[in-house]
Amino acid sequence: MIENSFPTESKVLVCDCSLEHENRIKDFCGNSHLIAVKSASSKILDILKSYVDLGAIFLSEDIESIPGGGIDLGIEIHRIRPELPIFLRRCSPLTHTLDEQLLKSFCMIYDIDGINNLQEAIEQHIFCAEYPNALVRGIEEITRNTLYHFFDDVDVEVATPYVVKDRIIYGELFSLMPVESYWCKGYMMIQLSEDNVLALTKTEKISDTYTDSDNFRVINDILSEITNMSWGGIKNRFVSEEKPLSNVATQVPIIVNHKNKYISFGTNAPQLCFKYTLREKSGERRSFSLFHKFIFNLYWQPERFSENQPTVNDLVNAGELDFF
Amino acid sequence: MAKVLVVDDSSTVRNEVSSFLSSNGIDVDTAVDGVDGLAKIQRDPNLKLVICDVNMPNMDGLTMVEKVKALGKTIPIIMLTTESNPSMKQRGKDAGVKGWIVKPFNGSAAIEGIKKLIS
Repeated sequence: MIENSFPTESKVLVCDCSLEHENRIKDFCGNSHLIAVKSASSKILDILKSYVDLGAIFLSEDIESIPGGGIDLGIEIHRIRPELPIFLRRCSPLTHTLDEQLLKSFCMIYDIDGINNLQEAIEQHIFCAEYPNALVRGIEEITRNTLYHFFDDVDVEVATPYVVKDRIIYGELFSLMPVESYWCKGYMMIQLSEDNVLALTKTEKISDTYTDSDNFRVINDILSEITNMSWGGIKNRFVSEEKPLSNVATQVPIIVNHKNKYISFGTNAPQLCFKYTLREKSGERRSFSLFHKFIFNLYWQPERFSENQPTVNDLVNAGELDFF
Repeated sequence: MAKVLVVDDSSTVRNEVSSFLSSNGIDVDTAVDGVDGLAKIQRDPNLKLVICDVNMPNMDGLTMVEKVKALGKTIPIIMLTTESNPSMKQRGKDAGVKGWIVKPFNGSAAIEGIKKLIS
């Protein structure tokens, strides 16, 4: 366990037919940094096809609206979303006579009275990566300041950072930046939808001569520069040139499935996520959300993490001209 | 009118800096990377200052600066970049870079220095 790790949260989908048990699950979630989101069984597969940012799913065996109940539903969910841990609340002893292969669809099968036994599995499968508090706070501050530089007269709200096991891509475009340091190697992504981005962008950042057909290119460029500045700021604060980079030569293919809006980094590692919502302070109150994600799939040594000490030269503020 | 060349692969940055300089009565040209920047520096005798990014495709900013120096050109160059690490700044200094601005560009903070360099 690292010192000063950030207490991340994770969203879990809960589909349970018993209100009493659902409440106990919600209490357990509350104590375990899990945000329980209720779902009707009939909607769960549709929800999973859209962007939801999940860490896990809690099902009960006795779901009646689906033939085969919670077991068949869990098997189907596992088939389409194998990266999501599924916790099945059993309602009968018969659960354990299931075929071994079918049982593999579930991370853990539990009895409601033994729900606290899930804690270890939660740590292992959802919160399996620890993130230094200074890193999480720093990323949030740097990226928030970057966004204020690009967008006019907006409030930027940041949700509590959380982890996901989801591999779903949000929105129509995303940037992908390899990141590497003494303590990590992986990727940074920023994902967003185009709607309202241009409307909220500061006018001096857009050419006078651009036309509507240029829209997507302009938005692409804005996203590119946000990504550049965000990683630049993070690198300046947390990557020391005095320490060698990870020395990990491994590379694995990244798979993007556009049809299913899915990206895989060849690992079961969680993604650390920050959700920023930008909203106009006045007028139409237009808004958009931007998802900032980190996956350290190639190397993760948070115990080696450190923050750079500012030097005299750093006293020149960003944006100011430092004459040599 | 004094002319400044803004070299950055980001159109957003080129627009932002150009817009600010123009509003301060400064004529501006732009380039999309180090190759484009080097060509314009060689071609245009009216350039008084270059404001240049570091991380660009095709040719990065510090390589461009080193090539400008190798050509014997003395046009002042300021780097505008997300980078702030000391070794990169030293490389810039060694190549004759006059100043360094860590993004985001703050026109109000930089304009006096810019005017001094083009005067």
